Amino acid sequence: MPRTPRMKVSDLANPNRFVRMSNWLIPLFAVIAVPLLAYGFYLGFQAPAERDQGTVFRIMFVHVPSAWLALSIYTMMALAALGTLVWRHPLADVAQKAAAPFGAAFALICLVTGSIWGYPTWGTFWEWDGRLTSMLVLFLIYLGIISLWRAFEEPLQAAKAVAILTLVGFINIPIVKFSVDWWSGLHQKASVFRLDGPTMHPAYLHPLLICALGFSFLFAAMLMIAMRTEITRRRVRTLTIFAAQEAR
Amino acid sequence: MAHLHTTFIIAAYCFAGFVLSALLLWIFLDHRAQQRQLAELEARRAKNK
Repeated sequence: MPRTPRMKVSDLANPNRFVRMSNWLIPLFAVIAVPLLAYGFYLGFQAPAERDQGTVFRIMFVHVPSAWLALSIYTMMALAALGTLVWRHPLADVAQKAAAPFGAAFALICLVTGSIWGYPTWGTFWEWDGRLTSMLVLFLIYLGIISLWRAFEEPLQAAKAVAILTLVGFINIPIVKFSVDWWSGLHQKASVFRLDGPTMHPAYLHPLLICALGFSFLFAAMLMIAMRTEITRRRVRTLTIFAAQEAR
Repeated sequence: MAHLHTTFIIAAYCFAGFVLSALLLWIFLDHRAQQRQLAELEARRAKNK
C-alpha cells in the first residue's frame, strides 16, 4: 500500500510551500483576531472603574498588548537572526525583515498610549524612567534595523549585517522587562508575568489576555502578508537582473 | 474628571487605530505593487521566449 508522504519541519523552509500555507493561514488568523479583539475590548469596557485611576485604566487593553508584542516580536527577530547566521534558513531573514516595521509600530503605540495614560495618572506625559527610556531605546533599535535593511542593495548581504545588529540589540529586551525591578520610577511593577502569579484582578486580567491574544493573531496575519510580499520582492529583483543580463 | 478620562481613552485608542490602519494599508498596497510588478516581468519574459 502506498504511503502518504509526511511533511518534515525542513519543508517549511521552502518559500513556495510557505506561500501555499499562508493562503489559508492569513484569513484564518484574521478571522480569529477580529472577534477576540472585539470581545476583549467589550469585556474591558464593561469592567468596573479602577479604585485609584478611575476609567483611564482602560488604555491598558491597547497599551499592554502593544508592549508585549514589541518585546515578543524582537525576541522572534533575534531567533530569526540566529536562523540566518547559524542555520542559513531561507525564510529567517525574510521573517526578520518583514517583522521589523510591526515591532516598531507596536513599540510606538506602547510609547504614545503610555504617555497619554501617564498624564492623568502621573501628571506628566514623559519621565526618563527606566521602563520608558528602555522602551524608547527598543523603538530606536527597530528604526535602526529598518534603516539598515534599506542601506544594502543585496538582500543576503543586508541579512547578515541586520542579524548581527538584532542580536546585539537583544541585550535591551531583559533591560525593558526588569527595568521596573532594577530602578525605582513612575512605572508600576509587573502584575501579570510574575513568578508568584498575576496580582491583577480577573475582571481586568481576562480582557487583557483576550486582547493580547487578538493582537497576536492580527500580527501573525499581517506578518504572513508582509513575508509573502518580501518573497515576491526578491523574485522581482531576480527577474529584473535576468532581464538586464539578457538585454546585454 | 470622568469626562477628561474619556478624552484620554479616546485619544489612545484613536492613535492605536490610526497606526494599525496605516500599517494594514501599507502592507496591502506594497503587496499589490509587488504582485503587479512580478506579473509584468513574467509576461515580458514569456513574450521574449
